[in-house]
Amino acid sequence: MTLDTTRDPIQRVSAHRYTGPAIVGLGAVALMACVAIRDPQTEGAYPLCIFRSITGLDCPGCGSLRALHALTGGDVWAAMDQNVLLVAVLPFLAWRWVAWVRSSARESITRPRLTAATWIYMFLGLVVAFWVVRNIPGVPFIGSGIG
Amino acid sequence: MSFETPPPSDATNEPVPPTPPGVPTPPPVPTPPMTPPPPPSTPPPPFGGPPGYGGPPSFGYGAGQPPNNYLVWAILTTILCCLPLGVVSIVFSTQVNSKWAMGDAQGALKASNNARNFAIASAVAALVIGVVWFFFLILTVAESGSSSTTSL
Repeated sequence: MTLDTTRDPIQRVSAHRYTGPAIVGLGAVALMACVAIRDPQTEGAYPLCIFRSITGLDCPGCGSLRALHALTGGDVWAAMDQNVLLVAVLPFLAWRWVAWVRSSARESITRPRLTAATWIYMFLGLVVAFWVVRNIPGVPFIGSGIG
Repeated sequence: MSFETPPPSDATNEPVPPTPPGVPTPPPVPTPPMTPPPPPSTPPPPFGGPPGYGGPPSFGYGAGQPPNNYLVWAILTTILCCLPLGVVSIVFSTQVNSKWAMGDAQGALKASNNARNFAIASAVAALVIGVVWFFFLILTVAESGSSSTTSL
């Protein structure tokens, strides 16, 4: 019986192991509550996207508040209409948060395995393509749902 | 199999041939017989290396803890902050992984810092604009007094 030492544990340093995940989790809940109460559909409820106010074009994040608002009402389809990228990325973010909590619960942390850079490059390409395509007039669904 | 054979040189017993940059050294802990190349000829990292991670001492390429690529924060700032800065942060996140995989620990660390800084810059910019907008909103509400007209 030999121990697997290929991923040797590293001793945990911090004592406040749950502080980070707790702050982020509470922040997400607060954001959702805020967006649920204060409807982004009403004009002037939130500041306009900087990129959009300058260029008049959609940025990759345009429509994300409206999408979150739609999600708090359970309307996934409307959320995808506002910002598909947000809806697509949310499960990933949730997964990373859960993984963060679980790794915080462990006594020792193992070395993280790096994902191949190709995957992130592909995601980057996806974001840029999304940015371009959603500004092409006449393309349905991909845009931010307004003008 | 075999390491890259160095070009024939006059020095027969040169202790360790210099490795071209980009060749990863797989074992994190050097074993005496197969000595991996020494730390690169470049000076020690100005960041003080990764002792903050509490990991084993770095032996140059490939050893130690890979730096954080802050990908989640880059995505969050891209989606929520309405600034191209978040996209720049994603670019640096990618560089962290690619440079680390190539054995460029210093470059990866640098890209990691850049990814973090751009994500912070994006978040702070959005926060500042939000706060300014909020005060502007309060000002206009205060100026319009108790008139029930909502500004469009």
